[in-house]
Amino acid sequence: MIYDWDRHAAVPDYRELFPYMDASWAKHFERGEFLGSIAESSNHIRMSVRWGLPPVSAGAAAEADLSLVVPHQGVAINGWADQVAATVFAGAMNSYAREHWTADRQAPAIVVSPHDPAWSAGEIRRRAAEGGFAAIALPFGPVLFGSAHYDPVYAAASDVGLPIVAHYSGVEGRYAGAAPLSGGVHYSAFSRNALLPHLAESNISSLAFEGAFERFPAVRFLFSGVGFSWLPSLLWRIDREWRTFRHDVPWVTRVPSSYVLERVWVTSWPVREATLGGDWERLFHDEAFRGRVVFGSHEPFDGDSVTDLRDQLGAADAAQVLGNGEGLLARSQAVGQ
Amino acid sequence: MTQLAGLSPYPIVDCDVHPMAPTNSAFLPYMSTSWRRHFEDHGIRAFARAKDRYNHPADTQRLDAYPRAGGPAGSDPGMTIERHMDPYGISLALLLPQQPYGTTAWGEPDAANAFVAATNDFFLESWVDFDPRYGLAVTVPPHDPHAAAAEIRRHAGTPGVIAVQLLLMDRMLGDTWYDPIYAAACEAGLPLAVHQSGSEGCFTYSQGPAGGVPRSYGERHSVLTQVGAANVVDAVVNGTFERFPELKIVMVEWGFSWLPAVSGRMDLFWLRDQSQAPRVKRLPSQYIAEHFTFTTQPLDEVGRAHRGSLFAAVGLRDVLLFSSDYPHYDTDDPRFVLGGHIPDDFKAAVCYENALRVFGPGALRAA
Repeated sequence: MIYDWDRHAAVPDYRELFPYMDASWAKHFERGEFLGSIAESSNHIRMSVRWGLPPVSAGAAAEADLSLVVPHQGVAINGWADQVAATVFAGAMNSYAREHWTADRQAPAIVVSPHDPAWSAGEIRRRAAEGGFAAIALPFGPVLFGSAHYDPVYAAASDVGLPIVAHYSGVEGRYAGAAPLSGGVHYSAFSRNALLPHLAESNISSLAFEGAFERFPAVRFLFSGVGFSWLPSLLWRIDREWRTFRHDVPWVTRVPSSYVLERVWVTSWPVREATLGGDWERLFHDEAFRGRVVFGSHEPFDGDSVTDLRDQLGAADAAQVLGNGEGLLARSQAVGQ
Repeated sequence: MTQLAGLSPYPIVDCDVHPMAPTNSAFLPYMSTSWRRHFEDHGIRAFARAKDRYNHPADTQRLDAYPRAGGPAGSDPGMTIERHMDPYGISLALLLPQQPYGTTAWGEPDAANAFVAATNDFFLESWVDFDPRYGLAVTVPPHDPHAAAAEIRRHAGTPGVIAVQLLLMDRMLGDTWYDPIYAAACEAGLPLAVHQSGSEGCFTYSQGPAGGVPRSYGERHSVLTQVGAANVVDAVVNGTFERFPELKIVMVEWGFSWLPAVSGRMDLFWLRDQSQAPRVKRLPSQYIAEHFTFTTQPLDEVGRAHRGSLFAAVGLRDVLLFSSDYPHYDTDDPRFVLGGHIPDDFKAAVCYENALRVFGPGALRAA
């Protein structure tokens, strides 16, 4: 089986979202300043250079049994100041996604807002009841994922049996109010892109140390588009700190890496990052680590094809990574559930 | 204690030992009258971490490092020799004074300069002159790079001064703000040492980890390494080593197991699109290998199954320096690190060869 957990699709023209929102909100999003900001990429990491310029969307991967579509335009609400507008936009995006990006072997993620957990929980339940979605896209907000702030989101995710997918939008470390990046101010997209994995590291640490894995044992997480070769180093560190400070976090009842190795996955793009210096062979010979890496093509942007994966990892390891995504299927779909 | 035989057949250079003055008032004799009066009136905040924000669950110092006669842990140079240097056969300790770290929470550049200059003179007289096995990193605060450069030049050529400890606030290492400091350090032939100050993630003008505000001390400590990594990336991307090809930077207590992942990611992105980083002229990992070294503490506690993997990273042997972080609570016991964790074929490099390449053979005054 082949699962592609990181494909992207975009609304070709913003006006196509208007039928899915009130006329007054459509008027809001029609303002020239708003459009100028999202159309010009500046030095964003933003995956598409401009809205509306091809390529904008990837169809289902021909070889894949399931492709997850992450609407990256929707994820970008993590940089918005108007958090009400963000929910309207995400809701419209979800309606559009269900009509346009749901197919036999392709399903979109439900975009929710890190700023509004109550709305997000309701949106998760509404969309799951409609059907057609394979995951919940939770953008990186200013509050780390382990906080009780997100408990309504995780409760809803537990109820509907869909995994949480965290994919960067490109505004992290750039827009005030969005998730910061490590260090100080990074002016270049190159620096921010190099350091994006730290977003996953911090949020995984937060989930572990705040006891979120204990509170919501059924919730699964996928950190997407930020590489994966950093994972062993992170797990060694959080285990060491837990041994030193476990009396300070008594709600973490076992070694934190054990939660991560059960509930957290990471996507494979860019796989060459791990083969360039030999990290794949050095670290991912261990089944515990290798089992966490799921194929994510990152199409239609700079990404990895199934062939790239096989070229870089060899046929056997690639086959495992291509199939690892089964662990993220909706609970009702997963084998043995 | 008796010397532990066989720990290392090589000289051991410990690249992270923290000396303390017994009290902050011990620095006052090394200041002008006006600054002495200023600090007598205002007091001295000689710690950086916001302790009401990230309170340590126990004690940040080893309890067995508090002098019998009183004073903070690590404040008796004789006791550090007796408890740490002699027993493990350490030939050279890089002294990184931590009381100056408090200035990263200060807003007055002139006060920070006056205080830190006094600490440099104090530790030269009280520690460097006490035993030739002590080598000092003279500290410079980041508030005023020209004043910092002058302080470096004041100590250039002083026996026992083997590095410059650069403190960081909001600006990262690639910022051209630091160019006067880098020029002075290169001119003096001194490497920079960059150690966490405790201010990370605490103030609006300090650097922090990605993603938001960690809740607890242990969680913060898990991701503190990111600040070190971010500064490595920033220095490379902003062309620091193109401007200062002689510059060496010792990253102290930022970990190292994350390094291959960061290097690989930078290399890949640069190979894909060099126009994204116009100041980078060759593979980012090459700059890192030539200009940075990383200390071993806190050593990741990997299981036996992963120990080989940790140290098998390409080029790691040439960039690692042994460190203990004595007298802090998370000191890495040299027996723990050198006795079982460092591979045999790493030991000469990690114990002293890499250190002498960075600090120069003259750093070993006791030899």
